[in-house]
Amino acid sequence: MNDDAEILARIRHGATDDFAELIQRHKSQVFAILYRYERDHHKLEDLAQETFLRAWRSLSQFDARAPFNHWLARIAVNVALDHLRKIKRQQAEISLADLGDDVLDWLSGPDDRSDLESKQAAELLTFAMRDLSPAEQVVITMQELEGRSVKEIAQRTGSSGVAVRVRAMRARAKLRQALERIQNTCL
Amino acid sequence: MLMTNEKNDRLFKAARNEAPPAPDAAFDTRVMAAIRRSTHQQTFSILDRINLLFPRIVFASAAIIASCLLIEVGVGMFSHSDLSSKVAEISEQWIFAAN
Repeated sequence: MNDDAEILARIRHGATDDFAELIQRHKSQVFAILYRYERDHHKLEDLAQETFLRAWRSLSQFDARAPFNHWLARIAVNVALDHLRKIKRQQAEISLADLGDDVLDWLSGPDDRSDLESKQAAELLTFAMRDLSPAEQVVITMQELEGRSVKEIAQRTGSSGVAVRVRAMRARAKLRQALERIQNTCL
Repeated sequence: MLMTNEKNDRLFKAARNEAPPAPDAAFDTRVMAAIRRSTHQQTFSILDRINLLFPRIVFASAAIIASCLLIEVGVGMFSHSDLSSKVAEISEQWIFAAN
């Protein structure tokens, strides 16, 4: 991460074009975070661009106490949250039929069936998560899909550990209910 | 049918393995262009707006002055007294009535 510090120092001394180096280094991480919340490639790119734009605008506030990629990840999570709030207002973009028969069969079938493909599983979760609030979606995604600890989630979302635990518990219960509702629709 | 813990976990596990799509090759260039645009707007927006606005303000002021002069001349031509003396007369009457 020393390289990041060097690039940041150059940018602060006027080499603004060097920000492209930071984009090059961290775009995959930003895409990986945002892809959990937006599956459309064009929208995903827009969100990633918004993340880097916000980082650029608030670069003077970066105090280097945490590594640059942690700070950038936090911005990406905020961009994702804003996006989820926006699409929550616009309501659903995918319908149950879009999930495909395989997914619905898996959901309504016995527990010992073979696993879904990763893409199908992610689509099913995205569909079921529509019932969760944006904050709950972020917490459950970070905990279950990114494998982050409560402490890490608290740092990245700017919430307390207790709030993260409560949200995660509520999100898990809501998600289970949503999946059961989909199961019942399939039967 | 209930969604068991095991099934829930298997769903998360499967979704966890999904790889995100790779960014487009032109992504960096596009972001840098957006940054330059936003920097340009931030630096010059106020100046640009004043520059754009100023000739309009001058033109608007000149148009108001010209229309006032035209009214003054027009009123002067069609009545024996000019507009300012009429206004002074009306205001004197009003002040006198008030007292």
